[in-house]
Amino acid sequence: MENLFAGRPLRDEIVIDAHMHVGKYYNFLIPSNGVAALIENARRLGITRLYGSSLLSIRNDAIAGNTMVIETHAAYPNLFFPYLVVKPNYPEEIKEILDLAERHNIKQFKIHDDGNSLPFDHHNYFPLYEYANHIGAVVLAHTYGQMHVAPLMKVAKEFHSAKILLGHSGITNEDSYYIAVRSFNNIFLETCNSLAWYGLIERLVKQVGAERICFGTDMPFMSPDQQIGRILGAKITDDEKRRILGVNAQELFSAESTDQK
Amino acid sequence: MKKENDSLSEERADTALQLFDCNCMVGKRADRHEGEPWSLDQLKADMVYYRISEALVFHALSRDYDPVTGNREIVELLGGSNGLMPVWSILPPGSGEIPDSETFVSDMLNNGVKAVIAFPKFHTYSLASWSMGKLLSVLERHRVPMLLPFQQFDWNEVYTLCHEHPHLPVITTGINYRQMRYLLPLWETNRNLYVDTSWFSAADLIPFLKEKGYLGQLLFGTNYPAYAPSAAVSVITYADVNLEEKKLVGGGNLRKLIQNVGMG
Repeated sequence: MENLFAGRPLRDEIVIDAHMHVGKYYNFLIPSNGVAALIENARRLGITRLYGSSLLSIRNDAIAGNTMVIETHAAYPNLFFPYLVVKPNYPEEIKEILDLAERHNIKQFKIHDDGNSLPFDHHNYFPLYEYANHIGAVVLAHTYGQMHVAPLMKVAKEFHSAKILLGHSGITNEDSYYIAVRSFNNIFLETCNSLAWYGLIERLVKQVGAERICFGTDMPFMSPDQQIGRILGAKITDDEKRRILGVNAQELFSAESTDQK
Repeated sequence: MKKENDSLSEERADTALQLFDCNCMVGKRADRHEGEPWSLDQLKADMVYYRISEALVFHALSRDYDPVTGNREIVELLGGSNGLMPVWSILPPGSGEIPDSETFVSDMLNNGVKAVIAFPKFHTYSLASWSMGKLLSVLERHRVPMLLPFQQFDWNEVYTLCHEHPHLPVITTGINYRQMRYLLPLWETNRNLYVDTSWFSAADLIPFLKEKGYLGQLLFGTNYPAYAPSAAVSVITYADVNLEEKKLVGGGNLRKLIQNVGMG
């Protein structure tokens, strides 16, 4: 708590941002000035590892955006780690993306329904899920309540070795997130949420336990200052905060899950 | 009660930032989420816990039930509470529910009310001059800040409001981080327009606005009790600006507006 009030960076702690992005976005101005600024934010706050996807991938061009985040990893090999985006409305590209993942030993993927109307249990996603299931990869999904959680529960059931990380957990239909985590051992929650609902972090911990929750910032959309404050200022124990801020993510993302070339 | 207030003062005195919340509600609300606080005691306890010194507070009844009832309740409820300043909800005087503009504002100031809040969409009225012009002019004359929550207006209305009443501080509250393409052009000509930070937070936003010369337009806000104060506090404490600038956004900018109330 004192770090929060003093605005001090976290030092000697594992702090992993499991949900952030690089790039621009079409429908609003992003004040933050590129990858270097996001890296500086991480260093300023004491975030030791960032997992990010490309907004270009999510919107228009998965291949180009995925290449961009691989290059970002090359520039910041110990700090930035890429999610590869798979777009179900470009099914012809999915094999190429999975090949890219294999070549670079990338074991985390991001899915989002922005720009496509296909549900997360659509068969176009199955090559990704089969691959994730085979290697035990993390699939971070953008979620907004039951409409997204319900199909992801079907995915978790069928592909039980894939690790499904529910982005923006608790933003709405809170119960759906609790039910999902209790139902499937391979579902985890991620915390970033611009709507910083009162008591949400405390309720997540109470309902599912701190062991299944990972911290995320959603930079550059959201403020990492705000998101880290939600965890530091929550009325939970310091051990629970440590698990959420980094220990859980360290366990979730296998250490070798990056390009080691 | 006195003992509690004194203890609140001592607790609050240790914070360097002297946070002053411009966006706070108390009372039972229609759309409460389970677990959300609603009582004055809970608000005071959270202010101590999160080291918030002062707050402008409106009553949930003035939003969800009846402005006149809520306005009366907030004055009675706060009744001299240390650091908590009542906010009244406004209506068009022409509807006959509140007194004429001069009497309403005089009553407000006599009751220690430091700001007003408008819910034109929710309460079904127009902010245009034919409806609210006289009341807004009296508020402007007394430099009374007007809180205008997100989704209660469109930005063209805000432009007109700020233009027609250049000395009326207009504080848009709870706006999200996606509004910059409206705000930046508005701030070119309307420096009586302010924004609270409760939802208006993106990576590097405060340094970005500092660089553009708009730090004075930012006011600390929590949107309590809907949002966790921890999120609002950390937006200020972790902002990548110096301590003096954090103090301005955290409370200095709002304190300056409140000091001007009644000075017109």
